[in-house]
Amino acid sequence: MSGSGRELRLLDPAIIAGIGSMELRARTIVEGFLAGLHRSPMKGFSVEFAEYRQYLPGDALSMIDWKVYARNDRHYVKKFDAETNVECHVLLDVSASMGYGSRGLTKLDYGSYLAASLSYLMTQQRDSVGFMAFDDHVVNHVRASSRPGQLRAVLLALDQLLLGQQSNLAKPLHLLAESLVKRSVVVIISDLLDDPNKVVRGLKHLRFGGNDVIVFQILDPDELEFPFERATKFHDPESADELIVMPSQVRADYIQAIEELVAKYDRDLKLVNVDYHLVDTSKPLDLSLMHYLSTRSRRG
Amino acid sequence: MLGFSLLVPAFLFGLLTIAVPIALHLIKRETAPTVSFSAVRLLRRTPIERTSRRRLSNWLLLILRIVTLLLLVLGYARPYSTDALGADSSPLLVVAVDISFSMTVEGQFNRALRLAEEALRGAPDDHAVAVTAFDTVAKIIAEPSFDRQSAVAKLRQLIPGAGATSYSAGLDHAVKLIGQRAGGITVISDLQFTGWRESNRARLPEKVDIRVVDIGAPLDNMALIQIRPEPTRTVAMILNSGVEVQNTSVRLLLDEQEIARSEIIVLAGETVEVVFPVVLPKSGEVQVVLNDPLGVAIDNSRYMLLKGPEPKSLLVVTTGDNLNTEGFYLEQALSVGREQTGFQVVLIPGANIAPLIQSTNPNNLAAVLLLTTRGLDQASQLLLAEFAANGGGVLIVAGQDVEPAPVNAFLQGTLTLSPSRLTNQERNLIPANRRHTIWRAFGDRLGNLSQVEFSSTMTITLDGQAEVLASFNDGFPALVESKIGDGSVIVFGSDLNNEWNNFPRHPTFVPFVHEIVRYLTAEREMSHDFVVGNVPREVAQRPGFATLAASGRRIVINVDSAESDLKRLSMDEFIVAVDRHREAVDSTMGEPLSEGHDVHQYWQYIFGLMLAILMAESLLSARTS
Repeated sequence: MSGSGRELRLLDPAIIAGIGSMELRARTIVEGFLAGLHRSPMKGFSVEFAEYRQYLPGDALSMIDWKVYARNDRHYVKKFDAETNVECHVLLDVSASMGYGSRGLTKLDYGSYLAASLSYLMTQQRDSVGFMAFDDHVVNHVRASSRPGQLRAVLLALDQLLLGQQSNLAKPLHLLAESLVKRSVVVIISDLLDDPNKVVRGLKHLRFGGNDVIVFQILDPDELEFPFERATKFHDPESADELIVMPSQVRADYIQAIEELVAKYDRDLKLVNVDYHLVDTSKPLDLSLMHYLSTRSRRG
Repeated sequence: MLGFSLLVPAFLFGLLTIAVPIALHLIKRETAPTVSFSAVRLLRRTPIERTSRRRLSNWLLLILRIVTLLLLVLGYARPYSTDALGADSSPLLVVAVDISFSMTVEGQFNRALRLAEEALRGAPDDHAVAVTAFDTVAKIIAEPSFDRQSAVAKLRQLIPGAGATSYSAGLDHAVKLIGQRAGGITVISDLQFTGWRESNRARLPEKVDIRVVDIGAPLDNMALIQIRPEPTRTVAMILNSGVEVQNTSVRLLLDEQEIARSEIIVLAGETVEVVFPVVLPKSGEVQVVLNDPLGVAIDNSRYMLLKGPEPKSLLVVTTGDNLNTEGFYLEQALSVGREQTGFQVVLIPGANIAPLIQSTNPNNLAAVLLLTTRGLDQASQLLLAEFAANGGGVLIVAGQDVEPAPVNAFLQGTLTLSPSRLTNQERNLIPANRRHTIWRAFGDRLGNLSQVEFSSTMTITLDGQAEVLASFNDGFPALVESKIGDGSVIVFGSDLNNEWNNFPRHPTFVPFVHEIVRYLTAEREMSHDFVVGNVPREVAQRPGFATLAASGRRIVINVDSAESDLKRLSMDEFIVAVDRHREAVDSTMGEPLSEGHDVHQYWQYIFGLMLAILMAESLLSARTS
């Protein structure tokens, strides 16, 4: 196995779940991810020099200060003010529906790793990072900041997350949209098992403020494929409703329903320039990070 | 009263099995695993079962399973509707009360009524009840019904009769009343030994229970059991069936006037003769009266009718053209042994029959032999019909002088005569019912009748209840008996005057004529001495003298002296006698209990319904499991 292959394997969510702390997980994911990249997708996007920082894989080679390299034999890139002023907000849905997981990893776990990884990556990019956990209301909020202990604060918040109640994605979106004073990058991690019209309205609200919005819809493979065979009593953790069905009888309708939901989000969010990504919890996290970076570079 | 009842109620213990599905339901063993699934709302797009409906299904399944068990138990318990079946087909308890005259002793019958009432009230709820009374014959007092009160009311109106006990009459009648049903018979009786006669046999289906209630018997009874006139004296026989020596008086009455009296002592269980030094006249009404205040009253008198021999006329109806030749062979045959038979043959033309019958004492007219219908007008036909209906005998010799029409009218549709048949082939006579009275005297020589050759016959067609006594060898009836009222009419399909056959020249002719006449006159010669239970219908079943309204004939009626004997059976002996009869159960007399109810096969419908519910339960279970 090649080195990159081994790194990528480390991004397997199941393996990540075995790693002790959230910080270590985030670092493993991001560094593993970055190690696999041949070039940084990021471009320079400011003019006022702020500081040097060590080169990281993915940084544009053009950003390397070769003079510094000549003096110290180390790669440094220049940082500019505009770059550090980017404010990133990671919103993680902690509603009860996120507690579902079919392969030892719940959607909340996966979302937490993704949020941690993104926060780590953002911090590495010297972005200002904020974090908000919500169900039908905001349950935890770490204000955006670029101070040195910010990442730890976010990761600590992620580590202490508990499953909440019913989801109401629109509500925190509207709250956040009203609280943002400058253009930000908003990453929303949720299963979006809510009223899609309300969700889209909330996202429009965010977009209306000029924010870049990236939506990761986290779904379990079971929710996508509905592989159940035996008659099963399905319990909705949010509404407590129960249904007993013969999966073979409802599979086709269910898959059609979930595909229609995904298609609606994809279609409606494209219309408002929201990056929408469907994430399968069985898939490695690097795909999600790639989505983020590509969006980040495209918007940068 | 219950609307339904069960043949095998013990199966109701099976209802305890209902606890099993209830317990399983309460345990709520869930077969479908519960999965916490976020996208439940997307499942609602399809028409699927909600949990609430599932819970409903669970209850429905429980109900179906309970109902299935209920039906299973009910099916085995074999229910039947007492309403639907009615008293005609539900189990029946027949209370048969002995009303023989031995029950007339003071206190006996009241005790019998009380015990019968207890038996009626103690009948199972699902049993109809009926009350019958029996002595020599049995009769229904209360028809099968669930109305105990009505049965008791009718029972209380019952009074003892003058007949003798016949257990077989009572039991046979009760068995017939029960018919194909289940049921039982409760016999209320004083258990007289003489109630079982050698010739009596009671057949009881095995499934019909019998219970005997002994009311006890009187201790003392004396009875007059016989009057015997002798050339020089008159003898009366007296039985003391009690346990005490009796000292009593006996009186002899002639035409209600006491003509002799005697004092006697009779030991317990002994029969003594009381001799009256009186020679009774040839006619008159004799009564012997015994003084027995403690015993049965009705057997303290015995009656005798003194009647001298009377001439008996045989009326031979001819055309009147030639009285010397018509009926010649018949008259010659009847003249044989006239001293013994006492028959007086009278040949008359048909036209004179009406005034002759009207002028003749009916008691003296033994039979009418009709050789012709010529001159037989409608009035004569009616007189002949009335004569036959009152027990007279008529022989119609369907020869050449007989027209079918008046005969057919006279025979009232029991058979039809057709015009004579002339055939080239001679026929012979073949007796049909060899056990008939008229053939008994022939014995082994009955076959000789076949030697008679017939050249011409009349066709007899049976329309009603007529019996063929002899046929021609071509199968056509030759001698047919038809009953009209109390009398008999015999039709011979040929002549008896050597015209259509050679019968008069055969040795069998004389016995043939004698036996037919003897048979036809038997009703007229019958005894004027009757026993209670076998008296003519128009006469009350009471001992004494009576006159038959139709004929004016005087008869005498006595009680059956066997009933005066108080010797008793034990209940075991009674039951053993019945058990002996049980061994010879007649397959036509009642079916086993269960079979009787299988006519109403509710269990089949119940099991059918149960299977349907099981199928529904399976479908519902498959949909929810």
